[in-house]
Amino acid sequence: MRQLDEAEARRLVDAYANLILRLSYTYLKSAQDGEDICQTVLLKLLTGGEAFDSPEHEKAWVIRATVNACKDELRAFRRRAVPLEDAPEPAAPEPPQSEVLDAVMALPEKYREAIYLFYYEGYSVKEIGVLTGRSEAAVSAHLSRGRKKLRELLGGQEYERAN
Amino acid sequence: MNGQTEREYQDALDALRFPNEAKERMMKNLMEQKGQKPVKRRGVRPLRAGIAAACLCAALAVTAGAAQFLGVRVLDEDKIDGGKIVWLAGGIACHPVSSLSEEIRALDGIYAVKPFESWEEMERFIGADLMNNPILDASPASRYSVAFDNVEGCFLARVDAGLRHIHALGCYEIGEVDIKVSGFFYTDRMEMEDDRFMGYGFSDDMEMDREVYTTPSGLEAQILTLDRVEGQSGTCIAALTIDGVPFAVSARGKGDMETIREALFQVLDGFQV
Repeated sequence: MRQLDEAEARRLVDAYANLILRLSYTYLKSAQDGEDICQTVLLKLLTGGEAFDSPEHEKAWVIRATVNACKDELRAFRRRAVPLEDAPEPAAPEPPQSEVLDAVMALPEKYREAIYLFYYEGYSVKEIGVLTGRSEAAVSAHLSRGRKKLRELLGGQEYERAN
Repeated sequence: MNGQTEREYQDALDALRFPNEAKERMMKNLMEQKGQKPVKRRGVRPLRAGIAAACLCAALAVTAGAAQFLGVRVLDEDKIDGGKIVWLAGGIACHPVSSLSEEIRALDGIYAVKPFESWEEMERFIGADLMNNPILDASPASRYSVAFDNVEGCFLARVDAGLRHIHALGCYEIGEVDIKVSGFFYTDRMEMEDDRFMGYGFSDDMEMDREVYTTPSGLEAQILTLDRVEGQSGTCIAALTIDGVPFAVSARGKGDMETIREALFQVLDGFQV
């Protein structure tokens, strides 16, 4: 049983740890909390007993759980007095140097969310709507405004990929 | 996004990945936690193994106007992954926002961390007299850097975006001992869940003594003295409340614990009511 658990935990870490890190970085603008968010989501997955129809269904659950965990973290951060005295923590993964990534990270949260799910995870506008609980029109608008803002930030002509 | 921009975005995110060491740490933690009741986060990060004395400030207590307690208390240790959190709680009064200075009220809706030249200047900014302590006034101030906010200074005020709470931090030196004084000022806008105002996280290998000390001016302080872990500074913490503003005072140093405790008690004796 223990071996089965370990194998399952290993599978989940291998399959989803980096996805959760990137998504939480997109939300929180910090890779420092990625490990905590990852453990929260994967522990829930390991102990929650959810049944999935397919790998895509499981991945969608992980994305939703990560989004919720990030929103909880943001709410908690905004509500509490964050420590002024910081403790040393294990080094967080270093976000890469990239003008485009920096420009995306400068966008409002909902635009970053839409751009990440559309351009990195490859979801359609409709699927992003289902994943994030937003209407298709809202997702479409966020993508469109995000692209416009990116054009301003990066300069130059952009050619938009169809939704 | 055009094709090139899209590829650069994807490449950059591809490069953001956990090192194997982090994955192994997560695996170990997952296996340990799976056998236990899942840890309730309570709005703070779970501690990771190896953290010595992380300082955590909590979301707060009860309903705003009802949060009146006579004194500060130390709550039982809260077992978390890799360690424990000891919470400081109580001693909180919620002050009307209208009593704050115009300067700070102008920040309503804006999260801010501001540095000041002195504790008094910080109090003028807040619009409240938080504490008087001639011992601290006569001690040299030391600089502190808040990495997350990229702000540095000896006296720092962190104001949340809704003017619900203000964390005032003063950093001093007494001999070789670093003294940090944190005052937590809450307003009537705060909706509290419990009355914890600060938590200190310790790894499992640390031991802690508790005692109660009454200052010459009659303030009652809860004292936590931590066993020194090899290679780390010794720490002694005091929690007390002054006119409904709870304070946490930490003393840290590389010297012997007696020297660190003496510095802390010197500060405590300096508080005037």
